[in-house]
Amino acid sequence: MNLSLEDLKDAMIYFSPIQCLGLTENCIVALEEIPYQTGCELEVSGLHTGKITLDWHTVVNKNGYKEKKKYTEKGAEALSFFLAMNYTEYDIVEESIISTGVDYWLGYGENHEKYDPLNFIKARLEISGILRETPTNSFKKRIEEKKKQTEASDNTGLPAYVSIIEFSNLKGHISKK
Amino acid sequence: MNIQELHREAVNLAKEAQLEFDNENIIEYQTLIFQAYRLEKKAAEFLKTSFESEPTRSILYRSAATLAFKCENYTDSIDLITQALSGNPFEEIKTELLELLKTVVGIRTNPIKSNDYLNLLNKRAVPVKLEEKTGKYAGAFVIPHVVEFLKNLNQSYQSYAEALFIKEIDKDSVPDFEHSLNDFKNKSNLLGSYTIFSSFGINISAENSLMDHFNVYSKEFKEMKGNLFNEFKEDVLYSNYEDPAFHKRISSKFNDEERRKIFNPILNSIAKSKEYKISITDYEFKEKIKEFKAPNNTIKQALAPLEKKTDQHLTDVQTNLTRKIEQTTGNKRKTILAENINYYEQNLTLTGLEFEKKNIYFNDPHVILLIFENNYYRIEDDDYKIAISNKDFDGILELYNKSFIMKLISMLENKSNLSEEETELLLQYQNTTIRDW
Repeated sequence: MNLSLEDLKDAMIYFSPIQCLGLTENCIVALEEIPYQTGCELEVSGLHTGKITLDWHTVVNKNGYKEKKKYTEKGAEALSFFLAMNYTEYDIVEESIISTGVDYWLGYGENHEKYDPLNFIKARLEISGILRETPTNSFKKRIEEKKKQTEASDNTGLPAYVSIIEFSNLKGHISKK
Repeated sequence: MNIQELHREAVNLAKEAQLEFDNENIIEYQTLIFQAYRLEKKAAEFLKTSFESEPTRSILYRSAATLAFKCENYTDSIDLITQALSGNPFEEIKTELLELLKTVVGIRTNPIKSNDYLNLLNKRAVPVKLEEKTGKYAGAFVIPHVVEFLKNLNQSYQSYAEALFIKEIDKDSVPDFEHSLNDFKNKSNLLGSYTIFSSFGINISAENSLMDHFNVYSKEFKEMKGNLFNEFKEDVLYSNYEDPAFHKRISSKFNDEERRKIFNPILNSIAKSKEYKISITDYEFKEKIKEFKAPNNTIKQALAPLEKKTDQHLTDVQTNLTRKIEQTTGNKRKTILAENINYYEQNLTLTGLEFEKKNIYFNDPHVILLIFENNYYRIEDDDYKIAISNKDFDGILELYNKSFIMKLISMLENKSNLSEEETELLLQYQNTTIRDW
C-alpha cells in the first residue's frame, strides 16, 4: 500500500487544508530528522499487519520546526489519522475542546449508512508518538501498557482506539482499546 | 448549520483563539473564544433531550462547558456540566466532567482566580516583594507602605509610557497628539496578577492591548505599545542602578525631566528613610533576584537629576520685581510704575528644597503660588500646610525651604503625639517626597 502524506488534506474533509498541511509538514520533519526519505516503509501492527510505503514531495523549510516534542506529536497525529481511516470502520476524525488541548474522535462519514446526525461521534482516538525509542520509552512498552488498560476495561466503556507511532524504526500500531 | 457543522465551526474558532493567545493578542483571543463558546453551546443544546446520543451529547456539553470556563462564565460552565451529567455519559466522560466541575467550582469560590488571561499576565510578570525593615510587625506588612509603594511603581510606569510615547510616536500620525498622549499615559496601569500576603508579594504585569486608543492605529504605536512593559522591566525594574554603564544608557534614552518622572517614584520607595524594603524575587517570592538598595547621591543625580531651569526662572522674576519695587522709592513717575505691580502672582515649580544641608526631593515637580501684594511676598501652600510671608524675594524662598523641612522634622520627632490631621499631613510629606538625611 502506498500513502502520499500530502493526501491527508483530501482524506480529512472536515479539517482545513492549512491544518492538514501543517500536520503533513510536521510528519515530514519528524521522518527526515531520523533521517528517512520519501519511499520509506511504515511497519503496521494491531488491527492490520503489513507495510505502507510513505511518499512525500513537499520541501519543508525547517526553521519553524524547532520543538521535537511538538513535531513528533503532530507527525504522529498525521500518520494515526491515516491508520484510523484505513483500518477502522470509521472515516471521520472529530475534535473537541478540552482544557489542555483537543481530543480526537472517530465517526461515520455523512454518506455512510450508519451515519447518525444526532450522534456523529462514535469512538475516541488516542494517539502517542515517539521520535526515537529508548529502553524506558519503547514502542513495545507502550503497546503493552495499552493492552493492560484494555484488559482492565469492560465492554460498557467508551469505544476507543489507540494509535502509537515510532519514527526511528518507523513502526505504527493501531488497536481497539 | 446542523449540529456537526456548529460543532466544527466552534472547534475551528477555538483553535484560532489559541493561536491568538499564543501570540498574546488577548482581545482577539477573548472575542474568538466567546464566539466558539456560543456555537458549541448551541450545538450541545440541540441534544438536550437526546439522551441516547452518547457519546456525542456529553462530549459536546463537555466541550461547551470548557469554553464557558475559558470565558470565565463559571455559572454557565457548571450548568452545562450538569446537563451533560443528567444524561447517560460513558464512565470515562463522566469522570472528566466531574474533574472539570471540581476545577470550575474551585475557581468560582477561590478568591485567587486562575484563568488563561491571568496565566498570560503571570507569565510576563515581575514578582515584587515588600518587607518591613523592622521585625516588630512579626512578618506582617504595613498597609500604607504597600499602598505607597504600588502607587509609586504605577506612577513610574505611567511616566515611562508617556516618555516612550513622546519619543516614538510621530506627531503627525496621531489626530490629537496631546489627547492621545494623556489617554495613553492614564490608561497605562500596572496590573497585579497574583499576590501573597505573608509579607507582601505581588506579580506586577501589564497588558496594553486592553487599552482603548481608537484614534491611534499606526504600526509604530502598536509596536511601542507591545514593547512598553518589557522595556519598563528592563530599564526600571531589572536594571542595576549602581552601574555607570546603565546611567549612560538611560541618560541617552531619556532626558533629565523624563528620568525624573520615571525614577523619582521608585527612588522614593527605596530611600534610606523608608521603613520597608523592596526586592524582585522568583515566582514563589522566596529567592531574591534583585534587592533595591537605598540610592546614593550619584544614583539620584543619574536617574533623577535636580531641575536647574527653575532657579533661572526664579531669578528672572526676582530681578523684575525688585527693580520695580525700588522704583517706588524714587520720583513720582517711578511711583506710578510701582503701582502697576502692586499685585503680582507667579507659579513656581520646585523639584527639591534645601535647608542646613538637609535636602528633600519632590516625586513630582511641586507647584506653589507666589503672590506679591502690598510690597510683601506671600506663599500659601495648602498641600503641605505652609503659609508664610516676607518682604524679600530671597527671604521668602529661604523661609519656604526652612518651613517645609523644619515642619517635617518636627512631625517625625513627635510622631507618636501627632493628631489625626497631623498624621495625615506627615503621610502626605512622606508619600510625595524623598528626604536625604
